[in-house]
Amino acid sequence: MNIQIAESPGDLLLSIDGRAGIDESDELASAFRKALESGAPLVRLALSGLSAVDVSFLQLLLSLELSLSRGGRSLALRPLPAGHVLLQVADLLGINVKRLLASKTESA
Amino acid sequence: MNFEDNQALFIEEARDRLQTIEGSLVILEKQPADMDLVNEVFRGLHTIKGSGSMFGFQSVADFTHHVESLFDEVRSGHFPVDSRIIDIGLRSVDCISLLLAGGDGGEERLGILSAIEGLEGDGAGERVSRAVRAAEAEEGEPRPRVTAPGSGPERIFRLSFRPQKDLLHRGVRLETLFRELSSLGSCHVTAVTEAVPELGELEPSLLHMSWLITISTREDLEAVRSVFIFVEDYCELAISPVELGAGEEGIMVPKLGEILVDRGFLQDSDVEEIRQEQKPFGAVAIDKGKVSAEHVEAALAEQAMVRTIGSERESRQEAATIRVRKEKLDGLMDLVGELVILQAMMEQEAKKDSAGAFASLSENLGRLSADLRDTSMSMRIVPLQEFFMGFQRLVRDLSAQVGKPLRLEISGGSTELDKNVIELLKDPLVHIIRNSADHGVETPELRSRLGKAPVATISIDARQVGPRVEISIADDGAGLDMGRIRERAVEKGLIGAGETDEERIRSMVFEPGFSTSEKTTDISGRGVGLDVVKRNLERLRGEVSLSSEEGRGAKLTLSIPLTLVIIDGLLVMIGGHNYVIGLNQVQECVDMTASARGAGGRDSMLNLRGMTIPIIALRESLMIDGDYDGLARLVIVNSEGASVGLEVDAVVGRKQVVIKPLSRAVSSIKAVSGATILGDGSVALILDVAEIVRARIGR
Amino acid sequence: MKTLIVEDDFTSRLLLQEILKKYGETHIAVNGKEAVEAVRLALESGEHYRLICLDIMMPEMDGHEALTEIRSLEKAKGLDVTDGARVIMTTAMDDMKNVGKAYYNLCDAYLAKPIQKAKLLEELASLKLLP
Repeated sequence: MNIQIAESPGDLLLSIDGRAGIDESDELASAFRKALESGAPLVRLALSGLSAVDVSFLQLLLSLELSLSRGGRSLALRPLPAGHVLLQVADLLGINVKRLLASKTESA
Repeated sequence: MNFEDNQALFIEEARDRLQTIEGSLVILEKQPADMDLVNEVFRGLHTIKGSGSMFGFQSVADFTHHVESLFDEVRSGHFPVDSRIIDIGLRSVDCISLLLAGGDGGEERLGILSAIEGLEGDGAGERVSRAVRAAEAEEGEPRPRVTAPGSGPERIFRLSFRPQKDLLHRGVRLETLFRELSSLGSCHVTAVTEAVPELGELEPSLLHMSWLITISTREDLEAVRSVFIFVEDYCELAISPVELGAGEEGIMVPKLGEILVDRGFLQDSDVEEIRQEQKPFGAVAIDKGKVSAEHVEAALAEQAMVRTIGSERESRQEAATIRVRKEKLDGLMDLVGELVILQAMMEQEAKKDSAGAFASLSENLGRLSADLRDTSMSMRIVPLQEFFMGFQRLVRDLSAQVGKPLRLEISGGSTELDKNVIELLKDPLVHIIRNSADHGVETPELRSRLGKAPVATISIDARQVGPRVEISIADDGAGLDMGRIRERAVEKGLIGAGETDEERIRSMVFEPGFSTSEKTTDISGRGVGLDVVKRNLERLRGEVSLSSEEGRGAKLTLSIPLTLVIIDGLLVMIGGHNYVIGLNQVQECVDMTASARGAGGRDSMLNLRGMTIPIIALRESLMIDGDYDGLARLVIVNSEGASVGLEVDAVVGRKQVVIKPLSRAVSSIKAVSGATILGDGSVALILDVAEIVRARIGR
Repeated sequence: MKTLIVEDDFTSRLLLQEILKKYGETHIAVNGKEAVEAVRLALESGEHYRLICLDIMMPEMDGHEALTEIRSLEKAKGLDVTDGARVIMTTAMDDMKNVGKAYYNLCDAYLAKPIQKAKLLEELASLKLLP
């Protein structure tokens, strides 16, 4: 897994590639916390490079979204191709990622 | 029952069976491994053969026997379901229809028989391996099944799955578990995520979620439980079957509130409280904080599954029915109509004797005859499924003709409609579907260039909306070419060059002879099209509306009254006689002002709240001599989208009337579409408003 | 040829038994329930009926219902219609409604009452039960 953080005024972009599963969850959690602490009003996630995800990653996403929204900030997910592994796993587990992120999805 | 009656009944039943067979064959082509469909085809053929020979249709029976034998082989796995089998099946359906109509089937019959023989000459071993391949192709990828597929009746289980927080530490992959679960049947999963904490408190390797799962499967409870065998010790798991409450009308779909109470998410008292609001139950329940959105979602999924099972059982099972000839039913309807009229007359008589026993007897008779009317009317009402299935074949054939891969999606087949009405709907629907296939849908090459699925979808959907049924036919094609329509309409002088009203431009496609097609094809494009659909629908007192989204497809919606026989009418008086105008067309009634009447001719214009509308003097349309010396009234009606004022002597009031067909001598009068007998025994003619307007204003 | 005659009317029963007894063992049931039970027992014993004559109008359980049950018992034992018993429906009602229903439930032949011996034998031959 590879995480890149790019900060620009007003927003922060996290790009994550590779596997994002339970074994990576600690690393991911600290990256997400950093994003949270940056104070950027908008946190953007580029996840199209993910090759595998599991329930722990989706849980982290939900948690990040919750933390941001409680602080009046928002999370935006960059568009994912149809059938992307994240969407597939979310669908399988009944976690409504689309509902969660659709309104905040920015165009590419 | 005599032999002739039986013969007629046989033909009727055989035609129905053929339609079902045809529909099953078309679906079978896409799902070649579905043995239920093969069985359905076999049973249908077996029934036609057996009853045919019983009632003297030997040629039908003999021919069908061969086809039945072929499908028996398919059933027992000796033949795979392939395109040749489907083709023979469909050709046989046509051939049996011809034989039923008294033909000898000619060369086609012999052609089919030799095709069957040809198949039987093939090597059997190879066939079976092909069958296996076909089955695999349908499944997508060959996927090893741990257990044999369940064969029990479809049942629904609800599961509550609450894993221990450290489940992931035990090497369990939840994704695998859910994937296995969804292989059992159709599965709806809702994660309950409200316990997921903020990042600060989150220990990322622990699970803070639980799941509500609804699964509809032919497996039993044990099979469902066995999916959880490796996690059983590390979770709270509850699996309970959903009771399918069977009512008289089949499976009863539970209310959302009932499911939520049943699952222990709501109290009965909450349900009461939420119902008070008279708003969508789920939304109120969430707003009031009674349940989470996830609970409502899970309950809705369960409700949908019960509904699906209910409608599948309904269509798969032969309901306890008897066949009655339609003429007999129509006869009954006429008699009931007469009875209703007689009862109305009696009621008027009884009013004169308001205190007496006669009045109360009359009241009881009134109630009884209303019930009788409703019951007998419902007997002619049948589900649309069978009718819709007939279009599978049409779409298949069209697909070949126009060279575009098409598929037909049917929904709402359990919606019911008067059989007489259904018959009149056939031509318009055929027309619309042809139009879609020919003009609506793009070529597969263009579709893939546009990033659309190469196989175009035409979908038919039906639903009941109050006393009407709405049937919509949609395609995912190019939609209407508004620019082209506008251009054509301007060319033809139908609209001005400056017209910008989209609605108005769209409505041009309903104009007689209107077509934007450059070339006419076998299928459509001759410009006899949607206007005919519209005309046909008007005969049913139905309406057509059209919506379209460029690049996304077009959708025609037909709205038809449930039954033809009784209508809500407005009773008016002209020249001392009663006439009825269908209330669905009436907009309002106004006084005829002296200023409205033109100086010369009778037909003139009226200024109604700034809108100029034409007036038609019904005295003239009906060829009634003389003038009315009182203050005439105007009934403003809507005909083909435009308002028109009909001048009458007086408006009597609203009336439910029973339409009686006119004798042939009278039915040549175009302005009149039927007659009815009023409570006092006098006859009132029912006016065909669309025809009157067409004749006077000449569209 | 092991045969089951299902018939509530004494005379018809006697007639069928007289015709069929020379081709093998015949059993009798007087209503649909008994018939289904008899079929179940025969299937369990491993020697199922080759022929069942089934009346439609009977008390307890009528012929249509019995036929449906019988076919599903056979199916559960892995016997397809072609391997299972040949079923001839016998009834005084030869109207379309009953004939269609009987065939749909997978009967093999349909005879109107009163039973004529010649017709019955003809059916048995065409069902390949008699040479």
